[in-house]
Amino acid sequence: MKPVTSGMYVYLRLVLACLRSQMQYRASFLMMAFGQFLVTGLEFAAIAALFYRFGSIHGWQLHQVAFLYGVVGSGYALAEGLCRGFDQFSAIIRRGDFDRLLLRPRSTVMQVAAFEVQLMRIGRFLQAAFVLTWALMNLHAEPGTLMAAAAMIIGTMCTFCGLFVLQATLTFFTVETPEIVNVVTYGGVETASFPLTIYPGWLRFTFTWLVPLASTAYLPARLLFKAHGPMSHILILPACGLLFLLASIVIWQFGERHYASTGS
Amino acid sequence: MIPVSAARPYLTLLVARCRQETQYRAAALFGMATQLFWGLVRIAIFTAFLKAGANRSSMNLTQTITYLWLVQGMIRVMPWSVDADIRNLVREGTVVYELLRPIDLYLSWYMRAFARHAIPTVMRAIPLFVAAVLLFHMQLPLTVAAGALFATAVVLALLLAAAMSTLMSISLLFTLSGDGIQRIVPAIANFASGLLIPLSFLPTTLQHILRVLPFRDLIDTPARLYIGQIGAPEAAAAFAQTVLWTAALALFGRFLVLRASKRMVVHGG
Repeated sequence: MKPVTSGMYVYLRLVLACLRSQMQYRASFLMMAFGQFLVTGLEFAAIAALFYRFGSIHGWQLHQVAFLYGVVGSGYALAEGLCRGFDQFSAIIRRGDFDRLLLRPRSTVMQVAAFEVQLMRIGRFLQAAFVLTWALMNLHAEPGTLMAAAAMIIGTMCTFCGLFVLQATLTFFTVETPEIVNVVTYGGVETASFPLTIYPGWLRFTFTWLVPLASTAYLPARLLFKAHGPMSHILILPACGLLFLLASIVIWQFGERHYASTGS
Repeated sequence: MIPVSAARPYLTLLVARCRQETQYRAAALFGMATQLFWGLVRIAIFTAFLKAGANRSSMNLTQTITYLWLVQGMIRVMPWSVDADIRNLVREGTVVYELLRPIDLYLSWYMRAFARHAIPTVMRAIPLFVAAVLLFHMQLPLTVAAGALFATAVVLALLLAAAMSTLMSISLLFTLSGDGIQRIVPAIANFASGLLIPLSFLPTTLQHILRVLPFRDLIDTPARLYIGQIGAPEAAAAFAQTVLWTAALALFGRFLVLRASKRMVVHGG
């Protein structure tokens, strides 16, 4: 077995190298980060406009939904930033770049995760973090709420990382990533930003039992705001995201054994 | 007027581009599945809001559901990205060959853009609308007139979208990367076109501002005509505004092309 610490060290070195190279194009980076901020910022403005007109949704107020939105948005932005290679894996496979990664004496999971880490994702993260901060201020958050938010963000991040890993595993067999996969990633962000009770049964089932976004976002939030459940439950639920990520990595390793190069 | 022979190369280009776009039929089919999913999620969200305060809504539930399906069907009208082929031309310097051709650069890029919006829209919208009408509570236009006004508005929306798209491509001649414009224009367009939220749900002051901008004619105007929220008199005014915006954007684009071709530094060797 390769030591995990050395793997993490190499991951950090690779990430820093990516960041340094992107900071060579500073104006471009700033524009792209601002663009990301604007895209999701206006999305949230639309949600706020709906609350302004209609008041509430299934008994949830704007600041409560903003809390959900902030948790899911920042978790997703972190996953997108840290696991970019899995999201772009189809290109890595097509160019035959994966062969090179296999030759190196480090875990492929770590190497792919560090492939082209994008600093501009900070735009989306900051936007979600602003919304979350605003929500926490309006909720008169106690230390417990802050801990819950942190656990939920990490759980959500792990779930989306797991989804990217699964999406990449699929590419071992299909080479191209089918557009339909976006349904669980982008679709997951949209769906999990609202209380799950508004959706039809098949959608609730998908995002509770197949993709554990309910456990990392909606259910803990409901325990916090509505059911006033014990803090231990609120903090333990997001761990489902971690389990999901671990399971995805096991599936990835299975897929990797069936990899046949496309490169020449 | 322009003689027919002068228009021929552009028509040929348009037809060729359209043919090329129809090759992506499988992508359109998968895209439709994605759009169906999004439509159902958006409908669940809006239905929950409308249930919380139906009396505060500017549209009833059926109208809202129909509007949301129209958005999903017309998603490819949106000027979301610059033409990848043109970006490569500019980056690699091969854009110089485009300048050598004895045709108008603006018009030929405009034709490309029109095909790039029109064909995917038609290929996605028609099957999606059939599925949505049969299975998911989308309403047909209430009158023949509403249907005809909608069809006209879609054609005008595509002409406008092509002008916006071409302008984004032309910006590459000045900035090379296009990274900024490629993110900022779509962000504003998404909000101001009705894609994220039907414009009549927004606060009134904001609606007044958005009414002057061209983006609402991409989706909101056709959708309102379809569901009968606005009729023929308002349609005439809206159409006139769309045509004016399209002409203004096209003239500006053409002016920029002329300027750029006079002082262009071609990259690559």
